[in-house]
Amino acid sequence: MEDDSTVIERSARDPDCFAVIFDRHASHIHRYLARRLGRETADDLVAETFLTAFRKRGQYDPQRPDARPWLYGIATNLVGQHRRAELREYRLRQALAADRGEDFPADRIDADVTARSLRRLLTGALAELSPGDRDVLLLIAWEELTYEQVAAALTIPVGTVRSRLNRARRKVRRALGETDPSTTFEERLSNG
Amino acid sequence: MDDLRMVRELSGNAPLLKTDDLAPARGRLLAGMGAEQHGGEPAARPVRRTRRVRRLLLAGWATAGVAAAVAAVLVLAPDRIGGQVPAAHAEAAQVLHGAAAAALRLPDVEPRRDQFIYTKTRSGNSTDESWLSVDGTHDGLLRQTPATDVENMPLPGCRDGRAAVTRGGRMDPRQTEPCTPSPAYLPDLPTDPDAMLDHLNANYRGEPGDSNALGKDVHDLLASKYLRPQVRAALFEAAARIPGLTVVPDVADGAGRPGIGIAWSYEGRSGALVFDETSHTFLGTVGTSAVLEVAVVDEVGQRP
Repeated sequence: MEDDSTVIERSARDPDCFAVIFDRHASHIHRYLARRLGRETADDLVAETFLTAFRKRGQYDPQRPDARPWLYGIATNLVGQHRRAELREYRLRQALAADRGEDFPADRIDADVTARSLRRLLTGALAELSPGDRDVLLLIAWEELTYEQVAAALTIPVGTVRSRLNRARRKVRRALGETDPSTTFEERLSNG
Repeated sequence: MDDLRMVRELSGNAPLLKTDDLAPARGRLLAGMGAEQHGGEPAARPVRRTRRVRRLLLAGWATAGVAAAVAAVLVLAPDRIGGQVPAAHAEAAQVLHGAAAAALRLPDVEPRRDQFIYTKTRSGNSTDESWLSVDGTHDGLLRQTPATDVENMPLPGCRDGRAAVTRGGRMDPRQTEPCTPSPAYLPDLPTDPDAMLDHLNANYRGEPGDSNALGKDVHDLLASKYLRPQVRAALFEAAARIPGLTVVPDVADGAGRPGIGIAWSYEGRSGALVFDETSHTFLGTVGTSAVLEVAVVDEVGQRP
């Protein structure tokens, strides 16, 4: 199978073959957008992400066989243009975490009150991170990108990825510690 | 406390969609791609034009007269002392010093405002020729020859803030759209390495400490403008001072010409510029493009 960079290079002469890039990565990019902006906005923005990529394909670094980090970077830029939608999504989830345990079916009755309040705190902490820190944290925690992939996606040095991640984690931990630093929260969350 | 795992739990329950569920988005993408290729809304066109030119010239301008380049052997790493291997940066800087010296051996032609910069580049099987207006106000042309076809793409000049609209690969002078002239030659670029570095820093778009972004700026200047020998030399000298330089040995440009690659990346992952191993003349970018010819000509369609 041709790698992504070969397909993208070919698409300079045969533009239609760029659809292959969509077929390979759209489901992951869509899920990322849905996690950050909600399903409805994600449905709208996934095509926009790939159209932007199509326009920018001449600038694609041919030494990167996997286009997904690059696509995550473009999607992250679009998320940045929908900051209000993102915060709305987090507020919504905060409310869901507080009121509707059934959205998290793994919850057990005896643990879910604590777990839900924990989620509410975490979601609030996410919403309060600076955009750059949040991008790095979520690309690593949710999308499981490596530091190098995040660096490539956001065109920042790996050192910056590390420092942003550290800062984001510190803030998240502080937000949790403000109520109860006990580690049983985590046990309850993961067991529950 | 594993805070990362806790954040992971928050990602919600968004599923990975199946092909069918993504079909509407795919349809929108294909429609958008079609509009891009065949001319979307007029407002989008000037941007698209610039982008396409930039892509064509990705490798940057080589030298006027690659054939005339004198083989000036530059001894690599003469400062090797006591068997110590010099830092990669020193070696890369030597190549760029060589490129600056090679630039100064080129003929110095100052283009007139009414002339055109002719450039011939190759990317794989596709040969591209362009005639770009020196001051950006005259109508230029892009000719792409992939395999057997010849595609001509007019590049309307920008006069008094208006440029003719292109439709279906033809210019329609009756219809115009707003524009900003894009000169192929900037007469006031610095000829001194310090001033050039200041210029790069002043126009810098990346994050602090990101030398990769600065490397891209060097590349963009090289790729989008006609540079006279002194300016070109100053650019290579300024480039040699950017931290994070690495040598990528045994690479080839877009026409398969072998050379030494120079990259500005943390971990060498960015696209590298290719220089001739002996003369250190700039050739193109790794694997994607090669600059074959650059010249100043009087008319569109004229070759040197």
